[in-house]
Amino acid sequence: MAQIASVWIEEGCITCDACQETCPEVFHVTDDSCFIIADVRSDGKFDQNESKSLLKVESGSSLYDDIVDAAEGCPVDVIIFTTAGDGDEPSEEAAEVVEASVEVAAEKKVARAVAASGVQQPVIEVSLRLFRYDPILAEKGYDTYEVSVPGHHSLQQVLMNIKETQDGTLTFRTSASAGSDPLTGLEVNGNLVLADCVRMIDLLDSAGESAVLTVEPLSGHQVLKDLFVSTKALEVAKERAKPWMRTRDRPGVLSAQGRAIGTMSSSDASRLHKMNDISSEHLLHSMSETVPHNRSYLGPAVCNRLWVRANDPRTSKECKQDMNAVLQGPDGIWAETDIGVMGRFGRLGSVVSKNLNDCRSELLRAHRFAGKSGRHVKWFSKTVKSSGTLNETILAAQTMGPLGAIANLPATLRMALGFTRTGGPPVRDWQGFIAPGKMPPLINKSVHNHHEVVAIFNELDKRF
Amino acid sequence: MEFAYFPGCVAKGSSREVEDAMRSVVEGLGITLVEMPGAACCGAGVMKQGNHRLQLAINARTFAMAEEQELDVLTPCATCQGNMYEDLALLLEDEPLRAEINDVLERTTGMRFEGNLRMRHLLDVMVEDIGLDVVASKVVNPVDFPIAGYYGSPMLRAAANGDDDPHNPVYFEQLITALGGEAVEYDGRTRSVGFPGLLSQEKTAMKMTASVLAEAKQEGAKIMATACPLSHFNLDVYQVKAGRVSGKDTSMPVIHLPELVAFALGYHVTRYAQLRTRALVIGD
Repeated sequence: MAQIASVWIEEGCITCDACQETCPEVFHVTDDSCFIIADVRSDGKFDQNESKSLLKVESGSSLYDDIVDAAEGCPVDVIIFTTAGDGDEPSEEAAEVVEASVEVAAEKKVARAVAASGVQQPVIEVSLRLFRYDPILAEKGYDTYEVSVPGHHSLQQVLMNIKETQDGTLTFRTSASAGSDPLTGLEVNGNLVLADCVRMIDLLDSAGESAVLTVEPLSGHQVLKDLFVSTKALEVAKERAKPWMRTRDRPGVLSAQGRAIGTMSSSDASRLHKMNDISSEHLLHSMSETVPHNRSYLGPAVCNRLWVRANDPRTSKECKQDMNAVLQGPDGIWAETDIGVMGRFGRLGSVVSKNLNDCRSELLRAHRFAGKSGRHVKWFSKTVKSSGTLNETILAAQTMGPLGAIANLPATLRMALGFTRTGGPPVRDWQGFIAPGKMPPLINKSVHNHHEVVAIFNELDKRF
Repeated sequence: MEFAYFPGCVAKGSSREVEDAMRSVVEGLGITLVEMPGAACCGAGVMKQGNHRLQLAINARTFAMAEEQELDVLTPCATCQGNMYEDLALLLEDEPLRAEINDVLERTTGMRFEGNLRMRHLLDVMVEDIGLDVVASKVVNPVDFPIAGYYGSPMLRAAANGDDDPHNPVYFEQLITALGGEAVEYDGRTRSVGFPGLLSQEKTAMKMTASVLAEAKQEGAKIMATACPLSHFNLDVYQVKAGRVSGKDTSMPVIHLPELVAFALGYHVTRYAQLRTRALVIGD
């Protein structure tokens, strides 16, 4: 006759009382854990029986079914037992039971740890509003799918599931392995994500109470079908910019294998890694809101790559000059109308936003504030220094130049006439030249303690 | 409720209507604004292209002034908000940089900046501090027609507009509803109109502007209200040019967020009547 040889409690008891209700002769639940009652134990102690002391023979035999039931009913599987057959050695069947009991407990323990760590997430209900485009019929619109998925599933898994079970024509890019493909980028509720590594629970968190996720193809790329975009625009931009490495001669060392390798200081290496910490150039290309409106602009991804290369100590002097010339050119970094927009896109956006700003600073220094963009920065700063506030009149005049000002006459007149539909009296706007009005004043009133502003400028940058 | 007031250069320059409306809004909502007459321009993200440390020091001086008064800073300008929020976050996060900027500040002004303040935009304050139910209870003249809210992209970054989602914000739409209006849903509400490139990349900026205006109009908006006085330049002063460059229909009255609120709270009734006539009677 089979009997329980020993029973003990592992860590993780939630003191739910289930075991005590099933077998009160053996289990007693305390405030912190479950204890094995002293009366049934051969060592006479009252604890979790971590020492795996044997049960008294009569208890192990008569309470066999109850102990097994209690172990099976334990919601967190912390009751572990061993059995013995008619002799001292456990039977083969009993050994299998023990092995299975231990294996199940181990699996559940891992599952508990996974759940506690947040790797596994509960099932969530979400509406997916997917952009659809049929290139043959030239029709576009949105299809909505109600899905119920584990929160830890990636967006890509969910899209694949929809494709397999609901609409085989849905088209999107997939990666061979999760979290590795920079081409799986999509726009979800305005944010840019890689579909193969973003979790549904994280997307839902950002969706707020609506639980509707609008999934669209990346902007700035040509849509071929549904969510599938062409990579051609970015590749063509790269081809035009030629951000390839052309190295200079530099000192090297022999490796342990006898190969000559170049060296770089750790600070240079860290700086380069930080600048080039870009998970997907396709996402980066889509961060610019200028790209869809200026097709000749190289885009932030290519500009960023050029700037990183130009800062690489391995790059030759000629190569750096060529890259800076492309960046300063008409389709280079000054074609971007709003660098700040990229700061919206988390860490990746912040990295590139800083890089592009640093790049502009360097180009302004090297080219002495040349061109409209250079004059814009220079005169913005100069007017702030002169009074503490921006003088819009001087900024516009200096940036656009006399010809630009003439070309801009309609807009100027629109301002002067107060034709801005706010209902303000037009006459007041004419007063702007001598008193506050819609037209900005010609001369700004200085801010209080203006000398402090001048002192800061003089301390940090005397170019203005 | 008291704030150190940072109107931004444009509200004191070419967009005096922002300043007029702000005075009405704060009166109506019970906000006290404490002036900072020494505060200098925030740099608008332009000055930092020449020298970021310079812009940081100028803004740190403004932060120090607000700190002296133990107040958070309130601005009606999304560009000022985004730019100063970003600089404040950077100074708080990077201790060596903060020490360096403080050294400059101390040498030149005798002030130091510790970081005990927050940058707030009027929109965020109305939603999170005052409460939309309170705002709604003070509405005298509901703005009862379709309105497209335009956020101003500089403000749309993590936590710069309070707890609102920078990618899919809702505060402006909720406010419009509270003011009795119908909030128009359109993608362009979060897009940039390219204001920083207005003077140097005008053609592109015009196309970006037209795209926002045309979409709002297509979705049924009668007027647009913007939380960014700088973007207002593109959307309003340059809207005819934007329409001509892009070939899109861009004709629409564009007002500032403080104006929208002031009108609803019963201020500037003549101007509001003119706007209603323009939007609802005259139309295109």
